[in-house]
Amino acid sequence: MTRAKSQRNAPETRYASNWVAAWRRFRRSGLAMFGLVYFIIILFVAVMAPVISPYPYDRVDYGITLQLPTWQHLLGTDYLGRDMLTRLMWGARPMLLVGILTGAVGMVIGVPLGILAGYLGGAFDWFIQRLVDLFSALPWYLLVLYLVMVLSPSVWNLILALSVSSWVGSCRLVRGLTFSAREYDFVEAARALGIPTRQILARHVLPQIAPLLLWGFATSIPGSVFAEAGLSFLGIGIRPPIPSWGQMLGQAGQYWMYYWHVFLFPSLCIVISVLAFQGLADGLRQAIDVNVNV
Amino acid sequence: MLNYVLRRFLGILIMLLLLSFVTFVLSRTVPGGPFGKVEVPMGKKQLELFKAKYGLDKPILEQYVTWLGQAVRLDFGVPFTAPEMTVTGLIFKLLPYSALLGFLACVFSLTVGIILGMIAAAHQNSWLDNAIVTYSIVVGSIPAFVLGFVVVYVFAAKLAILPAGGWGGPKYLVLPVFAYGFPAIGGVARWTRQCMVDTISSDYVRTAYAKGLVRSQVMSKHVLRNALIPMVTSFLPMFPGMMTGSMFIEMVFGLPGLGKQFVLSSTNRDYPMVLGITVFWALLLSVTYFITDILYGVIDPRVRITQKSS
Amino acid sequence: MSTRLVGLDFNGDPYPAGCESYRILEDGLTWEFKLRKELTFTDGSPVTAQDWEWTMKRAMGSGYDYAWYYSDIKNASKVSGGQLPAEELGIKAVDDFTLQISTELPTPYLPSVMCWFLVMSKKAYETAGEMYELDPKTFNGSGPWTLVKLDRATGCEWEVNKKYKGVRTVYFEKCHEGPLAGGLAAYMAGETIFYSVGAGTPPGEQAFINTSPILRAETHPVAPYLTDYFGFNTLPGKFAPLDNPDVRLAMCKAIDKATIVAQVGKGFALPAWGMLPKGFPGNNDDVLKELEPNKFDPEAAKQLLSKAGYADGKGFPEFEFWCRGSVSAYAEAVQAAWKDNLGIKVTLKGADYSGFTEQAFGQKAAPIYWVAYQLDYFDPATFLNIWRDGGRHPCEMPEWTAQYNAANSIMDPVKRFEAVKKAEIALVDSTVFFGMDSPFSYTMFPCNLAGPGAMPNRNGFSMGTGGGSVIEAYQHLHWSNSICRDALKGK
Repeated sequence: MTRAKSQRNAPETRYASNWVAAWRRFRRSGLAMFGLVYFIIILFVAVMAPVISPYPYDRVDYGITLQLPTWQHLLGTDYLGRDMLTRLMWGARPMLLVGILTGAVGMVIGVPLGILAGYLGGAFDWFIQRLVDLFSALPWYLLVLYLVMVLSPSVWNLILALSVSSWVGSCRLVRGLTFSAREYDFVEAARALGIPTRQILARHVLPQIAPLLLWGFATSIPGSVFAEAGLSFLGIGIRPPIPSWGQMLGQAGQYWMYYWHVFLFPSLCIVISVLAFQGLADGLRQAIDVNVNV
Repeated sequence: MLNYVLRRFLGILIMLLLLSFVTFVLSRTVPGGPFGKVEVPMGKKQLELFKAKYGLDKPILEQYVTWLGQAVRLDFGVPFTAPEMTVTGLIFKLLPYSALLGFLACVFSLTVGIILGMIAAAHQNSWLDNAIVTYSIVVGSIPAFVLGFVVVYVFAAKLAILPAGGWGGPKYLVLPVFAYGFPAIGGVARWTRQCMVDTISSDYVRTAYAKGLVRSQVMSKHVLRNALIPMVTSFLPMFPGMMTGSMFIEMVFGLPGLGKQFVLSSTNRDYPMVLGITVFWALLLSVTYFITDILYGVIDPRVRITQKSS
Repeated sequence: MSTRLVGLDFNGDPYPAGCESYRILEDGLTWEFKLRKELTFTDGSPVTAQDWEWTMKRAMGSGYDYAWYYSDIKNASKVSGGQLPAEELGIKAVDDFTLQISTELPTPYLPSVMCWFLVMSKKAYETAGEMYELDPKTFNGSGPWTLVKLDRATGCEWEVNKKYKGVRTVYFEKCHEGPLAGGLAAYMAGETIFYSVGAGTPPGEQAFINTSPILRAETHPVAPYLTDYFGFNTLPGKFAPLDNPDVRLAMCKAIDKATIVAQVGKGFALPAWGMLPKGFPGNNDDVLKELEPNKFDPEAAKQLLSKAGYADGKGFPEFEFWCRGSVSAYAEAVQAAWKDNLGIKVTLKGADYSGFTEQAFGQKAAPIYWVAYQLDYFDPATFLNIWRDGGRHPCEMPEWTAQYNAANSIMDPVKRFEAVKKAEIALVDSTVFFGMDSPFSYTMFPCNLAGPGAMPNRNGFSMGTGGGSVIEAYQHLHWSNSICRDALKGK
């Protein structure tokens, strides 16, 4: 299917380089542009949080607990009188770190396994398939419970906990892609010419699937944001010292019905982030202009 | 074909074997034990006695072999927290709640999602299409438990027209089904749209237009029928997927289903139950995928060739 | 739905329930319970002393997870620890209706301890097996209710045991337990008959209750029965410098308890100055709150810390602060106080109940821990026993244990309470723990619910609705024909 599509778009790519054309397609989607702009802004906020946040993130003030938004505290304060805006700004850090690194770790494990499985096929592929089945069936709740008890609370351990299952998705995707890439004429030709497998994979297969990896990576970020929020909601989050949005939402629990701001703002942050990354991923997919059947 | 079926079957068995082993070891090595909400830890000797009562004193491998020996005879043991039942009995006791919730949520999201997807595909690249695609992405960005909170607030606390949670009849399912199914609409709509668009731009549809068929004819006869294959194969696994994934919703709404039981069993360290539910879920999912693939092969003979090597 | 050996009345005082009377023998260690001859199991056979004896011995001899609770009984620890056979346990049937329980040390509060001792039918156990109580066909209870249906998904159903001749009075004919919707709405609609108003209750809802005369009248205060506290792992060298009393005192003095409790508790918690909550027998708040660890003084705390070699928290290790269950807002407040006032950083770690018990208490792996303890009966021993050596906490205090045991064994109630108060002072001063708060709540029940359980007790608390789950609810309540709720339903 990949080939059919790119042929159809041949006229468009004739007058511009692939990248320019991709950017043009990307720009067409409003949601994708929103995702890109959001990503830049949130990255800026996360990096600059210590400078631009109005208060220290852990400054408690018992005089003003659970205050609705005011001019001093634009998004109000939480149950210990901490500034919500500050905490949400700092919360962008674990969100990005967890989202990006979990995706990255998943790629580092999943991509090589997927390529090898898809290209070699046979017994190795069968084995990897079983491993993928195993990890997708493994109850992550139990896994996280285990890690929470065994490890100390930190962002890195949270990433570790989520990475245990995050590689499965990219492995499955890459395997499928390699599988079809193997049938390409030029790959078959390379094989016929006796070029070693390693070279075929690196020179011919990987470049074919690389753009899709970008897409896969972008789609994995909202997944991690969701997962982290869900864990904190269940009360078993691996709890880094820097507040995460999921954590804030989980703690809003008993107050949220009447102090709407402690619930609304973290929820909005999560929803908008997931939306933005989804838009970004969709835009990337349109830019690459292929369909992904996974 | 027979060869393929056998190989897949063997694959499922091996996966279950691996899964049960990993889950077995993992669940029994998590710190804590099946001693409930005990305030004071047991002494060393007492703990040994306690463990012996549940057969937990033997080496973990030996325990696993014992479990496996019983499991092949479909005896998955007795839940620690419901000793008058069997694990299988308790699973089938609680399954209807999760199954009903998952099934209704699936039907809800599929109905709305497919309709939206079809409308979007029929008006490809129009403002309506854009609106539906954007809407479906927004809908998909809301975590089910956040939506759960909101609907409880609006319909149970403010308007007081529906129960906030618990179990006591069909009306207790309305809010959970909505909160569970609503976020799934986005994915369904987008996939439906994608499948339709792909078919619309395929050669035989173009040929059909060339033959002079009108749009409605092409849509119903050619597009829908052919788009159905990828749709069915993607949507069929949704049913077991949603039946097994309702943990958050069951927790928020206090429904007595398997997802909630799994969380309870994990925190109570009810090892046989944790293992039983895990294996049951995996079996349900892999059998559905298996059936989907066979179905796929039956509908579309081209697939069988490529599937062979997987 | 079985008979307790001893019951607790609405004031929290013990009264003979499964027995007619109890007394202490001359040796000061043995308690004799004269059993009620008219009590029977549902199969008609009498409840005998042999049943009671067998119940306790079977439990203690087979790895009973709550065995620690009965550690006052003679040889209890050795039997539960497997060093002695169950026959050696200090409980014996003298004749069919006389039961003797002997203790290690004089135990003036033993009758209260027995409020959790429920009898099993030895015969049913032997004929129908361990699970006889879980099947309506073989169910053989001795209480005022019998099991009709047990359903793990939707709950159990109970019916009045017509043969019951015990002292408990039961008004409800049928009882169903199962998953219920929560919330004030369900309560107002009559779906649930109890609703608890506490720190978790939104202020909007509190205001709403206050504006409704009916709802206001249905609100009754419940005593605090729980103490939240954090403790240190003081084992020498294990988590230095937490084994240094000066360091611990500094960490205690850095916490503004009164302010934190007022804010986090939202008016539904009292500061805990020791282990015993306010209003509890033996509570000594007036003295305890003047003790050094309870006096908030950040300057003194800083000086103590720098005296110990950690000026401004420099060089102080970053410890894990374990919370049982999920991380509590109080723990976060403590974390902030230590950082702001002492420059000490801690990481919060939420561990689930089972894992916490094994790791933090069993393995003594937690440097600092946040837990709660809830009463089992109304005597200081329920809160202080857990601090004895070899019990729950990762600390060793042989001198305090000796002092407390001596105080606790005094048979004269007045002298005993005086001595126990001194022991609690010593406990607070040792800074192995820091009491934070005792939450309390209001319970609501419909105004047409009547019976002794609905009346306030001598301290003004309504206990029939649970009272910290010790006092059996339901049995003291019945519906009256009052129409006082009609107006509410119309709303």
